[in-house]
Amino acid sequence: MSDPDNFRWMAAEQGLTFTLERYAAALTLHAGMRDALLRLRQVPLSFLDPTEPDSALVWLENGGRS
Amino acid sequence: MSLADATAAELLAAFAARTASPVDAVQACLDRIAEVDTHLNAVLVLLAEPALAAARQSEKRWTDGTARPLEGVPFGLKDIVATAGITTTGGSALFKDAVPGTDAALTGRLTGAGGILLAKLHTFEFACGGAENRTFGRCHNPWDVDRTTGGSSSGSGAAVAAGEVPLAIGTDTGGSIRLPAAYCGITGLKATYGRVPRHGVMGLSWTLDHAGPMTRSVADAARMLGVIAGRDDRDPTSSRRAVPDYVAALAQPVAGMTVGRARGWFEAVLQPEVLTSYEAALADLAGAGVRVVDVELPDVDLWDVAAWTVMYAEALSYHQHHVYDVENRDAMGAGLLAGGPYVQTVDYLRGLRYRRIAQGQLEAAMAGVDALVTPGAVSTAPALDDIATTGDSASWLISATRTSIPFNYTGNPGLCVPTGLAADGMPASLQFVGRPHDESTILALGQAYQTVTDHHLARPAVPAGA
Repeated sequence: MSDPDNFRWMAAEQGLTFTLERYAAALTLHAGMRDALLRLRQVPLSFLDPTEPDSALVWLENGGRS
Repeated sequence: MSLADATAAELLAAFAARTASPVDAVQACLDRIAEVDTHLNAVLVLLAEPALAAARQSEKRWTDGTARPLEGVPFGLKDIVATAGITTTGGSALFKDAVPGTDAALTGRLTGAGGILLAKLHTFEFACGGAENRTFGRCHNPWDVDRTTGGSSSGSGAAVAAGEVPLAIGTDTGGSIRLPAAYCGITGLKATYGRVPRHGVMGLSWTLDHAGPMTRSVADAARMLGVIAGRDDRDPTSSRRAVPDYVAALAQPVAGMTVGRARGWFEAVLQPEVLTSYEAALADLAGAGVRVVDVELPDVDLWDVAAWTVMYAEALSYHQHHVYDVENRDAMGAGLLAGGPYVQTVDYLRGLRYRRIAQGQLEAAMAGVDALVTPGAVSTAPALDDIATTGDSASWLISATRTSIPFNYTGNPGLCVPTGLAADGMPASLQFVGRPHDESTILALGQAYQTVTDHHLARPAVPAGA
């Protein structure tokens, strides 16, 4: 997990500077999502299916049928 | 009953029977706004004179037999929906004086159907939700003015609940139609992604944003959706599918239908009073002949994190030019935008790609059922001060959207209906979730629920607590 210094660096990479409180809030927020994000990263995804956003929109347009 | 408390269907019936006129209806809404809005702050721009002029034109149409589907019915628009010649602020000081040159697609459809635009309604800056709006002030819940309406369709929720307008448009990126509907005791419908074109609607996250009806009954939501749904080439993501007759679908029998109750994620952190109300609502549904069965959706926590990853990245991308001044933005918007730079590209792409996996899981869970049910929200409306004093307000939003954002992510339609007042005196809600482009089934279920219950008829004693 990133620390506040890394967050400052990542924001700075995009030309952004926030208050210390803002970095702390962002860190808390991302820390709260961390475990689920790590699990999401482990989900195998094939190369051609899904390709986004096309395949999700096709599923919707088909009324939710694969 | 005052015309201000009538549904659109009741107004249309009264106009047809010549027992009331569109001018009467507009005037009743204006009187109600004058009476209560100082306590609610739901209305940002009041269009009294143009609305009365339009109402007089509507009266002529009722007389000469050319009345349209919403002829003479007042409505409000969340103030991120563009209105030609009328300020559209996005809830932000940055656009306080912005006047679009053209109507949003759904603005034109509503007025083209005879609806009368009466007010532009409060929202949070950039439709981000929260408690505070430094530019336009707080919006207050008509059931208890010390509590939030939810957001970001804050003014739409308050105005419909309080009798200021019978119909309003909300938008929903993570729950911003359904949460204020749940908190304010009204009906809110987030249709399938792409069902309602978003041309002219300020965006937050282009793969999660939806627009839709906020009303006092399911029947009104069906009528309004029928007007605003359908392809508009100015929104390439809008669906080309034909628009069904949603009002006719209300009569579809629900006895014998099956709804899947997804517990787990959706019921894990419920306020006890909300759970009690939810269980009672499911019993009412069973009484209407609807079978309730359990379904499993074990990975919704992954949908949730994927949805937020997508939202952070897309919101920052869209509002990139506003984030440099982030400390001058309202708290929730600032929190959301400042949370964006740390989303890694590979995670954003994974969030997009995993969406199809989540859709497949939902499709499997819905095999054999006609719709899903979940609570409309995990709690009743919290106190405004409690949200405002939470330093990490974006984390509050993540928790509050627990039952709603999964279906922004998958794109399925969600309909919230009020299930009565919880023990704390605040409205609770039930959500029906349908298959994509099957709004008809969830509207029929909602209509059946509102036929066997009267929770949608409850009106707040505005302004309670003022």
